[in-house]
Formats: sequence, structure tokens, C-alpha cells
Amino acid sequence: MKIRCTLKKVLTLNFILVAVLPMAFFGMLGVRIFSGTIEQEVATRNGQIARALAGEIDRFLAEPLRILEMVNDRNQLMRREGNIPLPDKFLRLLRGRYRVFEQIAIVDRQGRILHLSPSRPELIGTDLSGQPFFQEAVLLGHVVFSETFPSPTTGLPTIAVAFPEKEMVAVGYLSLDSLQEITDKIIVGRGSYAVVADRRGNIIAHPERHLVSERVNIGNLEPVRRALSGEVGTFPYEFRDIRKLGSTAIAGRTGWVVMLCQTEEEAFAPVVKIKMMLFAGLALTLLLALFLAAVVLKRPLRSISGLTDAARKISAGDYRLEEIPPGYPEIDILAGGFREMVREIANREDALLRSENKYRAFVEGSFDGIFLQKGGKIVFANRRLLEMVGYREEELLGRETWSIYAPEYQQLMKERALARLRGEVVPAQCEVQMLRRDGSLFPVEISARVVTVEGEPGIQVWVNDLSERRRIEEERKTSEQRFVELYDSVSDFIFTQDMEGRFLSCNRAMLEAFGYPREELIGRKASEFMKPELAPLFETEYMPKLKEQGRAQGVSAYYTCNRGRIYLEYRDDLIRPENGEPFVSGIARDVTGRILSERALKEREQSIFAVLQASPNPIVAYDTEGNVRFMNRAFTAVFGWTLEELSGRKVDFLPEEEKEKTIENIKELYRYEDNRPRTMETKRLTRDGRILDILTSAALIFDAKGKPAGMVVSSTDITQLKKLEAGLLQAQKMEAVGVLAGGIAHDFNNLLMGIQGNISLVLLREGLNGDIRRNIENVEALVSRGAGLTRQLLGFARGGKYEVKIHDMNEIIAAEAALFGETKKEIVVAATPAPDLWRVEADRTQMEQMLMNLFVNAGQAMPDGGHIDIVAENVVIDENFVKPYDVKPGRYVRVSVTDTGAGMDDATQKRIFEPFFTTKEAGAGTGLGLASTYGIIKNHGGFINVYSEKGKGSSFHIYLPASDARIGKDEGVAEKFGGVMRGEGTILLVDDEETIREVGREMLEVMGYTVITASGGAEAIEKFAAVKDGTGEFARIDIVIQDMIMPGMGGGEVFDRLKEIDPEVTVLLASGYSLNGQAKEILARGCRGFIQKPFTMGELSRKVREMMNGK
Amino acid sequence: MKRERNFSFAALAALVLIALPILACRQEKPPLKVGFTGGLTGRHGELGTAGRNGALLAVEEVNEKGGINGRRILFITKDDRQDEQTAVKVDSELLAEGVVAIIGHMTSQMSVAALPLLNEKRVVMLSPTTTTNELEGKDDFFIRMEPASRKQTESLARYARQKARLGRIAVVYDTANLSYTEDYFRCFSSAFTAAGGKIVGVETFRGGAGYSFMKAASRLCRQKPEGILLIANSADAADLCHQIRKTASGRPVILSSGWAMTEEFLRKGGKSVEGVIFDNLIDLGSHEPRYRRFKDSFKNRFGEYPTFGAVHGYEAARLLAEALKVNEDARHLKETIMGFDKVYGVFGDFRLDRFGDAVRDSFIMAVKDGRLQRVE
Repeated sequence: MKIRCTLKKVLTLNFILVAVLPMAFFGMLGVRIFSGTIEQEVATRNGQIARALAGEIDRFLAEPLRILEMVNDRNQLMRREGNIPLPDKFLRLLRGRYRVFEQIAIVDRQGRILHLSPSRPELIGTDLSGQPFFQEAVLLGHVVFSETFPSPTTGLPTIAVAFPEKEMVAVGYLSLDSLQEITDKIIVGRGSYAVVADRRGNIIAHPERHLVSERVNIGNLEPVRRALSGEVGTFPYEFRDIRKLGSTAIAGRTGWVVMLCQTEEEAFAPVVKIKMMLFAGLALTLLLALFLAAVVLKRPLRSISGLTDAARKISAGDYRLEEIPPGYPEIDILAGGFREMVREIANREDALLRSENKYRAFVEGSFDGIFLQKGGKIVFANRRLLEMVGYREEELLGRETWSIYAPEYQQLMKERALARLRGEVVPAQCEVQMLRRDGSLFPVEISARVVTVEGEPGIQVWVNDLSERRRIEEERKTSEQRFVELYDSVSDFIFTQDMEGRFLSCNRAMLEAFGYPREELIGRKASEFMKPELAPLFETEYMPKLKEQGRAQGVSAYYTCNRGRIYLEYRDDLIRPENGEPFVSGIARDVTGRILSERALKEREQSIFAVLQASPNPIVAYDTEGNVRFMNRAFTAVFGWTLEELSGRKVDFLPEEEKEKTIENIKELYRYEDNRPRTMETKRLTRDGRILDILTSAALIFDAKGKPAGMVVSSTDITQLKKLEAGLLQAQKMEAVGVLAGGIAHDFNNLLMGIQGNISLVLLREGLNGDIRRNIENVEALVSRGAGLTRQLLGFARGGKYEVKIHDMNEIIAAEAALFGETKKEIVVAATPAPDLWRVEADRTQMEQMLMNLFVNAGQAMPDGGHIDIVAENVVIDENFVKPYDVKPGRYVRVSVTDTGAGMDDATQKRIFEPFFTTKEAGAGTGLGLASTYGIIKNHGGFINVYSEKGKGSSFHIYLPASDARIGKDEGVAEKFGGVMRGEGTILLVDDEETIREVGREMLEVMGYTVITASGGAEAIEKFAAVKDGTGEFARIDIVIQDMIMPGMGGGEVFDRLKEIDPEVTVLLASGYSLNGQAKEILARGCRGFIQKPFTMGELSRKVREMMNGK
Repeated sequence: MKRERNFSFAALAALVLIALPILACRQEKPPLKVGFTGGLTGRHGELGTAGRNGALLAVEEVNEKGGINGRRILFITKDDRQDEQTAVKVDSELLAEGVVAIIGHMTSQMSVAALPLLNEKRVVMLSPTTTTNELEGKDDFFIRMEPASRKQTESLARYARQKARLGRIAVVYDTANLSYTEDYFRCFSSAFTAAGGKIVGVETFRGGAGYSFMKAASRLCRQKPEGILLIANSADAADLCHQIRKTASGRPVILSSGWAMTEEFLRKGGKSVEGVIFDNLIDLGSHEPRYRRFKDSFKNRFGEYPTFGAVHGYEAARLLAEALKVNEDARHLKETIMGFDKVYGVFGDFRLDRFGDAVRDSFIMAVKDGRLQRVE
């Protein structure tokens, strides 16, 4: 929009501009020139001060240089006189006199401090060659000032000054604290001060001392930044949000920046005053200009304003003119002409108004809408038409005539109007839709005719609004539609049929259920949707009955469009209207869900019955009185009774001792009335009087109201399981006894070792009396028997192991059976070998011992002779069978040894494998034979069981796991040699028991070996390591013989540590235990051999020789 | 009526003319205050000023780019003088001034002393160089740019024992920063002895004044150590190296904590620091583009090359700025920082563990030809 300024504003603004602008322009110019001058003056003055300060700093540094020069001169002089080094006293005097330096050092050109004052001997020799200032001084040969750094003692900025001469460099450490005194002298004004920054921009002198000690860097301030890059001068900058001017100069010797700082506020105080005066003058001028404008322009502007108000009133129809204020003469003439023109206009308007009112009353009073159109545009419309179309008069007049018709009639009405104007015959009336202003349509009947409008042909149109008539018609249609919707919204089926059964009508629910469109269902007979076999009944029975009784109801099945079946419950009535034919009116309901669920319930009952019958566990259901209502076949199979025998009766299968517990359990079940099953372990009688171990699970049966109606009990026969548990318990007991036996055997073997060793040594002595030798040999024989006993014990002990090879049990059985048969002629031994018998992995000696133990046991049960049958066979056993024995299921070789002896009772059978259990009189048996057999088989991963009846003999069944491996060739039996084999070498003997250590040492020494003993693992390792280091007494150790079980460090760990020291170490393990798991592990890790205690001297000598040879 | 209009117009024009210079001044948002505390003066001043300069560089960069969502950062520094009471006092002053967080302290002793106050006020302390193990694994308001020294110390002990094959080591440490030095000594000692080594002598000192490094060096060297571990700042460590080289009959391997690893150490130590071994997080000789950019900016601004203190000071301030950009509300600062997956590091991004300790790998460095070079 274009902005047009009023005359008043333009004239007032011109007044202001003329008054203010020249003053503002020249005032600003003056201020600018003035402030430039002030700035120049400040820069010049402050710059001079900064330069003076820089000169002062250079002078301040001149004295230290002079002192260092003196040091150098003195140095050179002393050198020429041959007095080197320079006495410290000289430096001390120099420092004392001038008090400039904190420290003075004389440094050689390699950077080493030769002299230092004040004296600090520890710093003499300190290397300064890494310091850049020193490097530069030596390289360039002139004085170099270091960068500033905080003093290690005071923390204040310090510099080092290096003054080189030919052979030495004088270095002085100068505190810059004195700089502060120089800068403190500078006072230009209240906000002015001087700052000195080093070459990095760090402050080294400042009125605020902490900025110096905190090494604040101002290298980013504009004046300093420029000065560091070589440009000195005066520049504005901002520090801590205060605008300042900084004038800089450079101190020539060090390159430090001296800056004189002054706040702009202080420097430009005169300029600010001038500016304030200028602004005040401007404001005054402005107010004066406004006052003048108001006075001068008041009169003409008031007259013009009066004329403007009058014109505004005339245009609004108000011809009463007020007095226009007198102005200048030109304005008064204009006002007179204005008044004349107003009078004329008022007269003409009055005549026109009277003429128009007559016609307006006629047209505006019409009930129809009337409008005139000319040239396709509406030129007149009465009030009624405006009401119909919703336009205001000024909106409608001038619009295209067609625009008030609905779009689809616009072209038609246009063509008709044109035809009418051309004089063609056109229907005078027609019904069309008209368009309201808000876009809605309404029906009208229009009548039109050609008329003359303002001298030109136009058309007059009457419009009759048909909306009310149409509304009444619509309401009637809606009412009918609602009824149809209600009919269709009913979920039950509603239909009518003629007297032949054809459908005349039906609601939507029925169509949807049958799946047919209405036109396909109507006219068809209901019997067409029935099963073909039922369709004739519709004609012959249903329709006649309906006609006769006037009503029919029932349930019938029908097929839907997609051949699905639905069941309908219907009720049909015969209707006989007064006018017209009789017909059937029916209502039906889909009851398919109900019918199908009734059937499903029946099927489920039958399924549950089948499940109960299929269960392997006996299941019985009782009523609340305890009478049997149902029992399955398993119940009959386990307990013997049938349902026919017990139905409605109580079962008499409760042993007396279980009655109380069972009744209590049942009471508890009924007390809580929940559906949680309760289990109980109990006993029950069978029909034939056997007692079974039973695990029962009982739950209540509830009736439809949730009240208990009885209970159901499912039982499991656990008689067999109980037996398995007992077996497992026995096996665990045997295991515990085995561990105990092993421990005893080990300790006993150690004792025997001591005895055996001493005997061996005594027997070696020459000149031994014959009787004494015999006595000792007897003792040796007894020791040998003792060792035999411990072997048996170790055989029983779990963990005692063997040399495993692949064997054919047929062969071992045949050999042992033959041997035993030879010794016991009164017993017939029959071995039945099995063809293709699987192989076993076993220790042959232990197998032989095991068989012999069984044969001896059988022989003892048949003192008067009898039969022993040995049968070997392949068996595959399952999980259930092996459960009590803690072995894996799979392929086994079973060896059964059966005798015809005295047999055993149950109590004996339970303890038969316990060590030291014997039925023989004292001294007749050790009680270790069968225990040893048990242990051997167990250690081979197998198991043994026995079946015996008193007076009928016994059968022992041995199960050994079958192997897939083939029988290997025997590696050759070591040549038996009874004598002592001598040799030489050094042996480390390790044993915690002193007796064994001593006897072992003596035995080995007799054999010719040098022996070192150790009482434990730690000592052994220390001695071994010492020999290896070359720090020990002996040059080498050929073999280490070590005990396996020792307190503290065990045999395994000792071996590993020895191996760490020497990976090639030869170790022979000796143990009171047999070659068990732990020993085997050590062997697997590289140990060379094993010997079982007790051993004879011969056995030991052979083993040692064997290992010496194998080294 | 007309008079009133004329007067209004005139008054308005006069007001505009007079108020124009005042209106020309832009209204700025209030600045965000960030505190810095460290030992800026005295013997430990070098580390403190380096940290401050690093942080200041980051703050200036942020302000140059328009600040935090249009708000300038006002960087307020305080000197804790390496004194526990002063540390607590200056932190209280900063809190009274309304800082959103405190960057600092630069030594462990000071951080340990001041942290309870910040925890109580729930204000974050972002320490650039505190590495004491004492503050490890604590859910508090302490966040740091270097991990606890444990890992570095153990790594150095391992190197000493396994790679350098040192069996006997003597140790000297400064008690002025006990939280760091004693912690470091214990950790090293335990790792070194566990690896089969032996600590043959321990010397402690406090402050340089009146203390004879020569005597300390000769006492240590009498134990015939194969190596000597220094836990001291760069100036003291350099002095110790001088004395050890003069006193020791052989040439024991010198190991040092990262505290001394600055240019000052190399300059002051000269040839006597050749071969000194460090375990450290950063390589100041690196040619990584990100580090070179930082190094150039720092040199340009402060006229010298950055030390590790400056690097971590810069990282701390930058992390703070990033967090404030996400959420200006200081009450949620800790959560905002802990919500970051990674933190900008001058030598590459790193992450913080759930206790706010940096997780960064260290490596062994040694002085070779007057420069620090990576050994492994």
C-alpha cells in the first residue's frame, strides 16, 4: 500500500529538518575531528611513555650484562695466569656487591656448571646443554636472554642471561621482580598503568602482582599481538569487559612488550563531554522547530480540515453543513462554492425517492422471488429472492444470472434465456435447482418472460421455492427406510412363505446365514435347502400339519450356499389376512453352536475314558463314601480285581499298617477341597495277597456346583524302584570303605618298606650266621605275605589301578579254571567259552586274581566237592539295569561263576563284599577275597552281583565293559631277575618319612650310587636347582626318586617344578598306593617310572638300572 | 485534540533522536560463568598455568563462535597455591560467584581436598590431570580426563620388570602431592614386587627449598638399584636426573611418572634425562592432524608448545562446552556429560566409564636424542 503523507506531517517534518539537520551534521563533524585529535594526543603521549619505559628496561638489563662481562674478563685473566678454576669467592663478592643476580654460574661450553654462586655443591656438574638459551649463546657467540620462567624458589618470573666467551659461558639468573618497580612509577591518570609482557605474551610486570605470578598471557590483546609481530602503536582493546587504549613499545634487548594502558573513558573524557553538549543542543532545536511549526501552520490547516469533514458528511448523505472556519481568502471562496453544490444535490434526490417507493412496495411484497436480467446479468432482485439465495443486494446485482442456478442447470438456463430473447418458443415454466450463496441447493419452479429493462430487452423471472414440498416427501421415504432397517437388524431370521413353502420375503440375517443374495432365495422352497432325504417330508408332513394346526415349531438342519450345515430352531404361523391370500410368517434362530457343543462334550467324555484305559498306572475313582465308581484296565492288571467285581463297593487292599496314614491323607484332601493332587508313598495288597510299594496321587472330583463328588487315585508300582535304591546305597557304602582301605594299605606299605629295606640290607652282609639268616628270611617271607594282603586291600580300594591291555576273557577263564581244577581234584570245574566273545580292557593279573578269589570262595563252600560252572557271554544292558551300580549302559561281557555249595542267606549276601567280612572261623580267611574282587571289577568300570539261596549254591555274575579295540601283541615279559644290580650315578631320594629315607639311602649306596636325600618337596627343589646352577655340592643328579604323597608340596607339584628347572629330568615315583589316577597323571606328564612300596632291594636295583639305561 | 496529536508526534521524534545512541547498544544475554582452579603460582605453577591456558584456549574458541547458544562464557580463574585449605576456599568463592562447573584441580591432593564441597553442592568438578586411584570407581561429581594411574603404573612396572629386566628399583617421591605420589608409589611397588622385582630404597621430599637432591640421589644409589623411579614434577625430576647421573656408579635406568613429562623436563634435564622412561597417555611428538591443529593454535595463542596439562585442560573445557550446548542447566550437567558416548580428545576421541573416569590406553615412551619417543 502506498503511504501518502498528510500535508500537516510534510510541513511539520520540513520545519524540523531545516532546523535540526545542519546543526546535527556540523556538530557530528566537529565531534569527530575533535575526538581524532584527542586520540592522536593520547597515542602520542602514551606512546612516548611506553618507549621511555622500554628504554628504562633496557637500561635495567645493562648492569647485569656488565657484571657478566666482568666475570668473563676475570675468567680469561685467570686462565692466562694459569689459575683455574676461578675462585668461588670472586663470584660471591660480585653478587654481594651488585645484588642483581639470584645466581651466577660459570659453565663450560659443553653445558656443565663449573662454579656457582651462591655455592651449591650438588649443582656443580649439572648439565645446561639442553637449555635453548645456552645452545644459542654458544652457537652465536653473543649474549642471549632466555625466555622468562618462574623461579624454582620464589615462583616469580626470572630470566637467565648467557654471556659466552671463548671457553666458558657466564650465566646469570635474574629475578624480574625489579621490573615491577619500574612500571609502578607510571601514573598517567586514575585508570592508567604500565604492563610488561615477555616474548610469549606472558605478563612479567603488572600493578596486579598476582597476574605476574600466575603467568597470565595477554598475547591475544590487540596492541600486544601487533607489538609481538613488530607493529607498535596505540590500539583499542577490551580487557575484563572494559574498553581501553594500549600504547606499545619494544624493549630492544629482550624483545619484551611494554604497554601503557588507559581506559577509553578516561582518555576520551573531553570528547564525551562535547558529545553530550551536542545531543542537548539538538534536542532543544528539535523542540523549538516543533513549536514554530504548530504556530505557523495552525490557521490554513484548520480551514482545510473543515472542508474535508464537510465532504465526508455529504458522501454519507448528511447535507447539513457546519460553519467552515475562516482562513485565507482563497480558501473562503472554495468553501462558498461547496455550499451551493450541496443544496442542488439534495433537491434532485428527493424527487427520485418518491417515484421509486411506489414500485418497490409492489415488487417487494411478492411471495415469489422476482429478478430482472439484462445482458446475462441480474439488474434487480426483490427481497424474497435475496432471502432465497442468501446474498445481500449489493452482492447479487451485477452477477451473472446463471451463477444462481445449480451447475447442471446453468447451461440449460443460459440457452433458454438466449432462445427466449431471440423470440423462439420456450417453456414458460420449469423446475430446476438453484444455488445459495453458501453453496447449498434448493428446488424451485421458475416462470420467465421477456420484458424491456431500461430500454433494452431483458427477462423477468418469478421463482417459487419448492423446498417445503420436497421436505415432506423426504420424511415419508425416511420413515419407510427405518422400518426396513429394523427388520434387517434383527439377528433372528424373519421370513414369509406362500402356501407352497416358497419364500416371499426374508430379513438380512437369514440371507447372510444362507449366503444367497435376496433374488436367489426368494421364490425357492424351504425344502430345497434340506437334506434330500428329508425334503419329501416337508411336502407330506410339515405343510399339511401347518395348514391344519395354523402353527409349527421345531429344529431342522439346512444347507447353506457353501454347503455348510446350520441347525435352525423355528416357529411358523399361518396368517390369513382379510384382504389377500393366506401366507406363512416365520421366525427362526441359528442353534448350530449349541447342537455342536453338545456333541463335542460327548466325544470328550469318550476320549477321557480311553485315556484312563490306556494309562499303564492303575487309576480308580471313588464316590464320597469310598465306593468304586470306575477303574481302568491297569488297575485290574496290577491288583487283580475287575470293575464288575468292585463297582459300587469298597476295595479291600489296604494293609493294616497303612490304614491310619491313608485315612489321614484322604481327610486332608477333603478338608482343603482344592484341585491340587496329593501324593503319598504307601503299600497295597494285591488280590493274590502280595504287598506292593505304591506311589499314589489323589485328587478330588467336583460336581457341577463345585462340591466334592468323590476322588480319583492314580497309583504307580514302585516296588522295583525301591529295590534299585537299596542297591545303590550298598554301592556307596562299598565306595567309602574302599577309600578307607586304600589309606590303610598305603600306610602299611610304608611300614613294610622300612622292614623290607632293612632286611635286604642285613641279608647282604657277609658272614651272617645260618640260623639268623633263616630267621631273617622268615621275617622277609612274612613281610611278603603282608605285602600280599595290602595288595588285596589295594585291589578292593577304589583308585587302585592296573596295566590295561585288551584281553579275551575266554582265554583267561580257561587258564584259571584249569589251574584251579588241578589243585582241587574233588571239584569239577567246567568253563563254557562263548564264540565271538567281545574283548575287554583289563589288567590280566587282576582278572586272574579275581577269578581265583571266586573259585576259592566256591571251593570253600563245597568242602566235600561239587561243581563250578563258568559261563562267559555277550550282553547289552539298559539304563534301568545299571542304575544301582553307577555305570554306563551298553555292551558288557558277563562272566557267571556258579557253584553247588552251601549257598547264603540274605543277610550274608548283603555284606559279602565288605572287607574283613567272613563267615569262616577266625584265622581261616582274611575276608579280603571277595572285597578285592568287588574292587577290581569296580575299577574296571564293571559291576558284580550275586544270587544265592541257602542250601542251593551261589551264582556270581561279573559284568565287564566290552571294548572295540583289538588284542595287541604282548610287549614281552620282563626278564625276572632276583639279584641286586649295581651301578653308579647320583640319585636324589625324596621322602617325608625318615625311616624310608634312611633305609633307601643305604640300599642305594650299597648298590653303588651316590645319594642326596631331601625330606620334602621344597628341599628337593632347592637341592636340585643348586646342582643345576653349579652352586651345589654335586656336579649332577641322574635320577630323582620321589614319594608321591608328602605333606606340603605333593608329588605332582614337585615333579612339575623339577621339570621347569630341567625338562629332561628323570624321575622315579615311589608310592604306598598302587598305580592310581594321580600317579598315572604324573606319568602322563613325562615321569619315567613307578615302583610300588614295599620293594625289595633287587626290585629297586632293577628299576633304577632300567631308568639309568633309558636316559 | 489536534494539539495533543501534534505534541505526541513531536515528543516521539525527540525521544527517538535522543534515545537512538542508547538503543544502538545491543542487549546481550548474561554470560555463563565457568571456574578454573589449579596451582598457578609457586613450584607447581607450571602444571596449573598449562591447564588454565589449555582451558582458556577452548573457552576463547567457543566465545569466538558465538558462545553457548548465544551466551558468552566468562572464565574465572583461581590459584589454589597447592594448599588444601586454599583449594576449598577458592572453590567456595567460585561457587558463590555462581559458576556452572569448576575445571580443576590440577593435582590429586587438591582434588581430594575440594571434592567433598562440590559433591555437597552438586557441582561438577572436571579435572584435567588428577589421576589418584583414591577417586576411582566413585559415583560422585568428579569427572576426569585422565584415567586413574593404576593401569599406567602397573604397565610401567611390567615394562621395568619384563622388558627392561630390572630386578632392583629405588623410588623417590614428592609428598606435596601425596594423594598422587604415594598412590603411584604403592601401586608401582605392588605390581613390581608381584612380578618378582624388589624395591630397594625409598626417598621422599616436600618442596625444593632446602632439600638436597644430591644427598637423596647418593642415598638411593648406595642401594645399587638397577633402576630409579621418580614421582615428581618436571623441574624436580630434572634436578633428580642430574644428581643421579652424577652420583650413580653405573647408569641406572630412570623411570618417571607422567607428572614430569613436559618440555621443561627435557630442557632443564639436558643429557641427564636421556633414556628416562615414562608411561603416558599422550605423545606430544605425534603428527596426528587433530593434535597438530591444537598445537599450532596453542603456540599461536601462548607463544609456546602445549604440555600434557594444557592438552587435558583444553579437553576438559571443550567437554564442558559441549555439555552446556546440549543442556545449559547446570543441575543436569553431570547427567548430560555421562550421557555422551564419546568425548573429544586432542589425540582421538575417548569415552568415560560410568564413574566419570576417562578410559584411555597408555604407552611407554622414552627420551631419545633429547625428544620423547614411543617405545611400544
